[in-house]
Amino acid sequence: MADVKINNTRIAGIAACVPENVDHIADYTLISESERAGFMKTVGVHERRMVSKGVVTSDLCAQAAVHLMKKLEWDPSTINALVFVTQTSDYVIPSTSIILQHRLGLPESCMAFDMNLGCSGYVVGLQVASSLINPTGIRRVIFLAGDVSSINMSYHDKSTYPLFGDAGSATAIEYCENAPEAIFSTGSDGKQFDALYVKAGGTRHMATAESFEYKEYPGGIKRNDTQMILDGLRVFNFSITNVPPQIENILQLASASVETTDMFFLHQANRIMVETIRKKLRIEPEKCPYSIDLFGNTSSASIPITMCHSIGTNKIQPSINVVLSGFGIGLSWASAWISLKNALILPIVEYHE
Amino acid sequence: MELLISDFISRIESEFDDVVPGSVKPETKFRDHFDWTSVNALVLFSMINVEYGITLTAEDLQKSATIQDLFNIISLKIANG
Repeated sequence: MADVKINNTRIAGIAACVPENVDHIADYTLISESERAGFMKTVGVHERRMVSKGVVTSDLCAQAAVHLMKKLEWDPSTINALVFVTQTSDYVIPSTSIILQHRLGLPESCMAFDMNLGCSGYVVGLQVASSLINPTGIRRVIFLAGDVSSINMSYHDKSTYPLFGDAGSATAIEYCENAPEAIFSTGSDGKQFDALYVKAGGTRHMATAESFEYKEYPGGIKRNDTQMILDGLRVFNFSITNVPPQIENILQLASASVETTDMFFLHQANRIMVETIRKKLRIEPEKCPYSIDLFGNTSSASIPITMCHSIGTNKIQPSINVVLSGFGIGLSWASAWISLKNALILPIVEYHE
Repeated sequence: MELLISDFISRIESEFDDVVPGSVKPETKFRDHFDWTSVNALVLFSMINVEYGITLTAEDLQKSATIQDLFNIISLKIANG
């Protein structure tokens, strides 16, 4: 695994934004009442937020970024780089981050680029954004992460439709001499790319009229080739096999342990997957908060959503050390051990046009 | 630790709310006995991974019909390290 230590940077703040519209799993009548009850208990999603037509990921992330910069009293002119992790960009080209440079009022001298990652994207993006920091050049970075996964789902696919929620996040990172060291570890397994993917719409399988035709699959599932395919058991086995040793590795590199780490923010893939990882690592339940019950699997936003949901406040954090871990689509996995000392982790806000 | 099918059955009965304690036998066909869904498969995979350190595959599941079949696969995987 690629292990990296980053010094002299700190997270100044984190904000998250969700759509106002609440969608209840109890209303998903494609599956029986007992299946819905089993899904809510085991997968853990009771409700999630879904965007109204026309609202996209960059809208949610932009609102989170504006809210965060205002609370931190960061003038947009002081931002040197913008990194946007998403799989639901505004356009095929160019990078949405460049459009956001203008929208957020960041200077034209600002570096801006997108990263196409999902479940692991918050941690990988945080590593990349942090590694840009330089005392004489890029001193402040706004790192956005989120997805409107609802646009990629077939209502007639019970393996994906009730699982995902829409959300955006913004994280402010800055140069800080003598900041506690941050440690990152990442992994990639491209041989399993088809365990979770959208087939058509890229250049290998360009979208045609046929791509939008619905086909039937076992279990009464119907979807077209522009919609997400999920092999749940493969992703489950991948995650429970690879994530615990990576987190143990991160703890070892940090000379820390489960006992000395204050909190674990794990990607909200599904409740039983996270519970399996938590039990294998013997993490106490109170150290491992959830957001999946109210927001679903929010892709790369799920770690900041969980942080803002569980410890969000308008006051700066005390000195707490946390583990972050994202795992899934790619297949890809990444974990980090970071300090949130003096970070402003804000409560979740709702999106308003 | 000695592997006992009675322990495996107890663990299964404690994981599934809709299973009456004492109703599961080695010869029980789990797909018929439980309200079997892909979500319940995750519950089974999770319990086996946490309790036995074994990762079952979709193929393991496909070739199993009874609780004894699952237990045999777990035993074999543990024996093979």
